[in-house]
Amino acid sequence: MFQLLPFLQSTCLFPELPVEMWCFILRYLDPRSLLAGVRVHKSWLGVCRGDPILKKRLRLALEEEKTVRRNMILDPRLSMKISRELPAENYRPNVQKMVVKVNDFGPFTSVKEGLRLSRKVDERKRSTLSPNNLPFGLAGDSFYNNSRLPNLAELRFIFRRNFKSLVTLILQYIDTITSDMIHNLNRRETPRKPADP
Amino acid sequence: MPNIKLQSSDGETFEVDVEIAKCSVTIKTMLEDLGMDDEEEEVVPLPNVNSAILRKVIQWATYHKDDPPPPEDDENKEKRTDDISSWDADFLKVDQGTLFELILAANYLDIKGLLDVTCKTVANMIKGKAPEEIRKTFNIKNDFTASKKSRFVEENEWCEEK
Repeated sequence: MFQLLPFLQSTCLFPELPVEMWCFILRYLDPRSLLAGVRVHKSWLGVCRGDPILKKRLRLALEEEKTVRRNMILDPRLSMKISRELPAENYRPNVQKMVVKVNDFGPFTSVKEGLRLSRKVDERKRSTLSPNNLPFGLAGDSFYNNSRLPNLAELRFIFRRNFKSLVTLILQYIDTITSDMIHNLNRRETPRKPADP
Repeated sequence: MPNIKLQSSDGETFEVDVEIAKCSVTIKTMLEDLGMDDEEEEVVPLPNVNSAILRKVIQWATYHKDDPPPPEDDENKEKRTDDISSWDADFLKVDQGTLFELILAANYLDIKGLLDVTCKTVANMIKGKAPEEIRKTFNIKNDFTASKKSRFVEENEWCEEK
């Protein structure tokens, strides 16, 4: 159908299959891919809500993600991997050090938030997630899209409103800090030119 | 070998071996319920399947007619998706529209093997990708509306521990 009428595909929001078929397909996924899939589209989240097995698996995936993030707070080294290409010849200055992020679940902990933010990242190309404009709407809608850090009274308010969202906030903050760190590390160590013989 | 005639939604008739047609549990049950009359030249209408898809389904069933019946699977276990045979992989190198129509046809005709292999193919398209990549793969549009952004906290409660 899409071959004959290609414009249909661009207007089609989502491949149309009945819910039980999606359920069947999603059961083939491992927890982590399921979590990513659920963050793509609302209807998949709906499918997972209705299915006890998928719901259980999704909960497991969220737990795993939380554990990984908790470990990253305790030991930030876990969140990046440093590699260095071997020098091609002896007595040469070091080649560039590469720092890459590992375990990249994306900077979000809740399914719905990930769903929302991954779309947003789509729009703004991820660049807006700097420490200066974190979405404080995590805690309550009144702080949404605030462009400054919250003061103490606001923090207390956030804390009272929802403890979990504060944790999310901290995790996200750490995530942006580590990506900044990685960026700086990669920039600082530019390869030096080998000395002329 | 007795033959049976299958008619697709757009009126085209296919003549297939009964043994091959019996891959489909729907047709098999129907024939058993009606009783087997080989002499009668009845045409079985399949209003949910068009001729292009039916041709592919028959092609698949002809190749897999000697397969043993698939084992009953445990629902709680995570199933493998990498055990697609190379013939099936070639067979399913089609566009997404055809793939989804094949899933629907396999579901309607109740052909478990075909349903398994098509669903595995779709699952492989999702597996190991980030949300943005999945969205690109399935050509999903951004349907986010700003009014919904404050509701997520309570909407996320369901998946927390109870």
